[in-house]
Amino acid sequence: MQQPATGRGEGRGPQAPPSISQQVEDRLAPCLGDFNAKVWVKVVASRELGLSPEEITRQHLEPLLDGLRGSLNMFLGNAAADELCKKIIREVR
Amino acid sequence: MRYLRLAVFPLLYGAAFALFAWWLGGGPSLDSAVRWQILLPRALGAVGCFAAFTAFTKGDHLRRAWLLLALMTLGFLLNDLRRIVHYMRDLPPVVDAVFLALLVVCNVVNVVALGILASAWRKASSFLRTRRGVVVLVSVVTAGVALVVAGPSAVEHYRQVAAGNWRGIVLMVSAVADILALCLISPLVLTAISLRGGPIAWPWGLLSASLICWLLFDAAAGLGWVLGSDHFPVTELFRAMALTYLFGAGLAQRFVVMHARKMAR
Repeated sequence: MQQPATGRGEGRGPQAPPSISQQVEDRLAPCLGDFNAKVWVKVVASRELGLSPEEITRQHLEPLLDGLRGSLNMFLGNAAADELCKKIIREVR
Repeated sequence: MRYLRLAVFPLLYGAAFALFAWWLGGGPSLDSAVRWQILLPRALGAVGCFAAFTAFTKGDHLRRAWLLLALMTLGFLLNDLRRIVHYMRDLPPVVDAVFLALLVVCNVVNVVALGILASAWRKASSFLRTRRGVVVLVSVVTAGVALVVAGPSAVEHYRQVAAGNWRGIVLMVSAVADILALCLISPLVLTAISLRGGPIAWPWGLLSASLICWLLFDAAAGLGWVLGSDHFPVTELFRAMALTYLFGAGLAQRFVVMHARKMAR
């Protein structure tokens, strides 16, 4: 007899790793808020790269962060923005 | 939670001020208390602006704006101290002349600082989540309200200056600066709206609240609002709240920058 799933994700098989855009959003969210992080990545991906967030790969990461940098510098200051971008490049796979 | 505390603090300060003013019940004791109490919110406002200024590093766009706001608030704090001294004893005319010049400079510096802050709207607008109609409506309404509230005062003081009363020039510059500063409410409010949902919206929201309190201050001064027979000082209530909101905005700005640095480590 099949056991019912008892928790989130159980019985669905292995989860796909988060996309590059998702990982960037997750690292921006504590500073910008979840919704802002999503919107900023989506707008910059579309405007600077002509891509949807799902189409972003590791090679698009630096141009994406360059596109975000102007606004991050404005609202968080150059030092915090630089550290945040470095962290994203270091951690996002 | 700490951002919420910064938003609630000016309301609590305003409530405490109102209760204290009512308890004094008007007269010379209220006048004296009002004259002294402004020093606290003014000093808090300067502390908040310096806190925001020191959170940024050299070359940051907003750093200059917070420094100018801090210096402007300090300039007005010096003038408050001059008024207290002047109340107790006469000051030489040269001191008055120096402070008149200082007030003109402070008013101009305030508009420049708010202009720098308002220019952030161009960045925020690229992530705009606000309908164009709302942007136009907010801009038109704030410009209209600014003209209605501070316009008559500017015209009146211009007439005084034209009639040869040069002391009126400070009040005229102040009224024109008020109109410009109040017009800058709309880009600050729209920036706060565009960034809503995240910590970075808080400094903009609190700064907008400060400017709205200045708008109410000007309206109360222009219309001569008083409550009750003991002439409750409505203008001073709004002034104190505007300055404590500025304090909150500066601290919120510092918290946002420091939090971002902590998260990036």
